[in-house]
Amino acid sequence: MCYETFRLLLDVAEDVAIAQRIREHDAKDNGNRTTLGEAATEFGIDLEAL
Amino acid sequence: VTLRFARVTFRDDAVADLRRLAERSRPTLLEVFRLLKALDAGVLVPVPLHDYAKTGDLTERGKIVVGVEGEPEHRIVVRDLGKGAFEISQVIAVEDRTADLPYLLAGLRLGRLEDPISRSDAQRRVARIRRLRDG
Repeated sequence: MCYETFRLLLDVAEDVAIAQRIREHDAKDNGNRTTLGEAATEFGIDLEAL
Repeated sequence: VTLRFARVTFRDDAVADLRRLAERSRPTLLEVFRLLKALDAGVLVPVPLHDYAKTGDLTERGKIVVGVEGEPEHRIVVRDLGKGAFEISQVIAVEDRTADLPYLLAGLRLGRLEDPISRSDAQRRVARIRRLRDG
């Protein structure tokens, strides 16, 4: 398998893996949401200055 | 009520991903927030998961590539909620990306990809790649 083919297959594999993870995460979603601003505060990040 | 920095929201799993990332790489964490600030402002468009859009359940899903020199690449998995709002479901490292390829190939060979749409779509893409390679 040439490197170009390998890279293309990696792209396929990545999307398949992400799709699988999306389904797993959807199944256990508890409905809680945190806004970007709230998350930035938790991690000590100043979004205005970023 | 301000909507500033509120168009982008995180599921709990994504916040947990951020906490893990904060312990591993502060530069990557900052880059994630920089990209999501741009998403919140409407100046960044996620890469859609085109091949799965027609299946329905992954419609409006996309990913944002996070690359910081010297750090493992990450992907932010995004759902477009419409009207400029986005939901983040995961922030995942792809440093183990090569591990996904054996998973894919083994899944196709052994029929372990349980979702028939994913399986047929992956098979179609692999066939197309092989045609390109052999053609």
